[in-house]
Amino acid sequence: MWKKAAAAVLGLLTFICCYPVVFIITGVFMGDQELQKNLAAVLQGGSGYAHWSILPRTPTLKNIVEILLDTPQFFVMFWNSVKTTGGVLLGQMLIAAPAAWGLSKYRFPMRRLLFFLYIILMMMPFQVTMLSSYLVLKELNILNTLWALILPGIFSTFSVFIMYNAFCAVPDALLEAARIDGAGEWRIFVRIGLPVGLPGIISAGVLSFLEYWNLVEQPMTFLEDQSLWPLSLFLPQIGAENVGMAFAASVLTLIPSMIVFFAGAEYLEKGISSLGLKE
Amino acid sequence: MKKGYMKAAAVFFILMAVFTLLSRAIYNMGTVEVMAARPESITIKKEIEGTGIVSGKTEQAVVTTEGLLIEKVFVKEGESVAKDDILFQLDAEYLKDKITEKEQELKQLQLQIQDAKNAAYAAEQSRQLSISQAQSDYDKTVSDKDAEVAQALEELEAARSELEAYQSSPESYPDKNEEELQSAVKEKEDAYNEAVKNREDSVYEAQKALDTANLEVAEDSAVEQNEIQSEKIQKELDELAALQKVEGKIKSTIAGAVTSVAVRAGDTTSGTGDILIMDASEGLELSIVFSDEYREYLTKGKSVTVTSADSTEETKEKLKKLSIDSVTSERGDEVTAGDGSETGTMDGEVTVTVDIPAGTLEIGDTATLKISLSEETYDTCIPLSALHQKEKGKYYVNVLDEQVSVMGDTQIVRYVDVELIDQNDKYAAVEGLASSQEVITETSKEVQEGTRVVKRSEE
Repeated sequence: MWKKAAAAVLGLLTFICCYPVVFIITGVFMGDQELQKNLAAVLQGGSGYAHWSILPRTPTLKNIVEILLDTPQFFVMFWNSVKTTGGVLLGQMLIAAPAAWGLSKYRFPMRRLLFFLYIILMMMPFQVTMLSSYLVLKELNILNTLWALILPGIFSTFSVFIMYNAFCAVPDALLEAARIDGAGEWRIFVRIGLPVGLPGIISAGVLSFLEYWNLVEQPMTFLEDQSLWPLSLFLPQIGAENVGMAFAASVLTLIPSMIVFFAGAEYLEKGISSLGLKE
Repeated sequence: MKKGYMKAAAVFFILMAVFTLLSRAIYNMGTVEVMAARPESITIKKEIEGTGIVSGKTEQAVVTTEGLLIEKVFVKEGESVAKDDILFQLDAEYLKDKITEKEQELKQLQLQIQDAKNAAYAAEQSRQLSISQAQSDYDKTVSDKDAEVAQALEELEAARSELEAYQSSPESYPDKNEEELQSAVKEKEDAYNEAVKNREDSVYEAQKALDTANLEVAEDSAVEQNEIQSEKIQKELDELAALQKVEGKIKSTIAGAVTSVAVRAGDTTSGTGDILIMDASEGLELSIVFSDEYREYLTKGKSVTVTSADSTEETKEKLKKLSIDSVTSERGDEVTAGDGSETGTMDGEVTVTVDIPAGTLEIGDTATLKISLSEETYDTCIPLSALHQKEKGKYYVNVLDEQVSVMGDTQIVRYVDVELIDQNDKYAAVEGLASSQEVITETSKEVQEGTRVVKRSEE
């Protein structure tokens, strides 16, 4: 009985957590007039509260058609987001994974200091490093290009941290045995480190995807050309007169995140739990 | 499960790629193709031109006798004819019948004239006889009645003498008495008075008869009328005979161009200008009508240029150096609105006539008259197709403006108000436009402020 009560409470809380998604999906099929009426208090500065209904009174596909066929700007931004996120994930595979492996498995001078710096940098919000990043990117002449988002993302410390903990779970004895068998360090990393640490790598990848798919501040700071803006900046452009399109854009923006999350949920769970594991 | 998510992701991205292409295609369909040009410095020659037909200065009508049947017509409007060219031919049979009819009519009239003359002579003779008879009656009446009066007077005097004699010596007349004698005198007096009255009446009657016989008979003008009519018919007959002599062929008496053919084969001649010919021998002219707004510029002697597709290289130079020979202007008529609320004046007209030198053009040639009104150089001139009127006196142009957007650098339309300084038929000089701005001269569709456009490269 307690289990049932607990399940009911959790179910209710889950629904409350999921309600914004339901809210968005129903909003996609609502007509402009119904949306204006429901959200008048919010959008037009009226008094009172906003209203909502689960089922639209006048359902329409206009918002979906408009976003898919009449808004090429959405797709420009979508593919910018894909390029940015894809570039970051690929770069992290090439840079962050070996960095995490090195930190976790090799002993070298100032290793602890370096790891400490990684943690401090990981905790710093973007606003703190924004100016210094801007100056560095300006010197590198990559401001107003997608590399201004991709390069800092590739060298992000958060994914190193997640992978570090995953690689720490790889038994040293296994590595020793491999060395004895004549395996080189690179082979050990590729044949042992990566497969064993895969949950951590994938969870780092999922979290990086979620972070860089929803990037807002960096594009606004480092990108001047609107044609380079990612999808996360599409919604701020929409006004009260096209709220329906905002809902449709939100759903389309949500879909890749949901696919990635659900595909990597298992690994994410393992990866996060590995943060608490000790050697 | 993971493969399912991979498949879902692949499908999602493929769909996004497809919709990317579709949305781009639809976006490009909404882009309007335009042609643009930068303002340039141009000398605006204000020129006006009008097109007309070269004509002769005089027009002659070809007139023949009325009512004749036309067998063939050899010319049509616009055709050039030389002197003695046949214009149309009359029907010979009809002409012959017409001549016969006129001859009979003439003879009839002549007979009528003769009859009228004879009747007049007989009437005069009869009148003279009546006068003579009345005169004789009058003379006889006067003499008879005078004799009667004289007789009555004699008798009266005898009776009076007898009475006087008795009265002087009644005893001399014992068988008479005064009463009887006085009665006899009275009787003779009555008889005398009666005779005088009778004479007066008879003379009056005879005089009346004489006066009546002397009355002038009213003049009869039938003869004169018939003589006039017969002269007319004779003239017509002469004309018909002349036509018959030339076999009914009506020829042109001048060289020129046919401007009007009012008859066809099978019609009858009207007796007025069936065919009109523009006379080429007295010189050619070109008359063009212009609007009243150019009145101040159009003066006699002003240099003009005439161009024509029918002119040769040689004549083109001659036609460039002409001048206005006459200007006639017509003021516009006053018009009132249907409800009487407004009265205005319609635009008048100015007709400019230019003499065309001999040997350059022919009657009927189409020619264009160009007159230069003014000439000035302006720095900011745009093609006239780029200028649009917002309301009376206010103009605007569409310029290309760069807009930075998510789709990259796009060109949009922006309205710029300009002031029109001068214009000719191709360019307009404006103020309020920078020389670096490109104005839109042509569009594939209607555009508004903010419309996305793409500049079409000139072929």
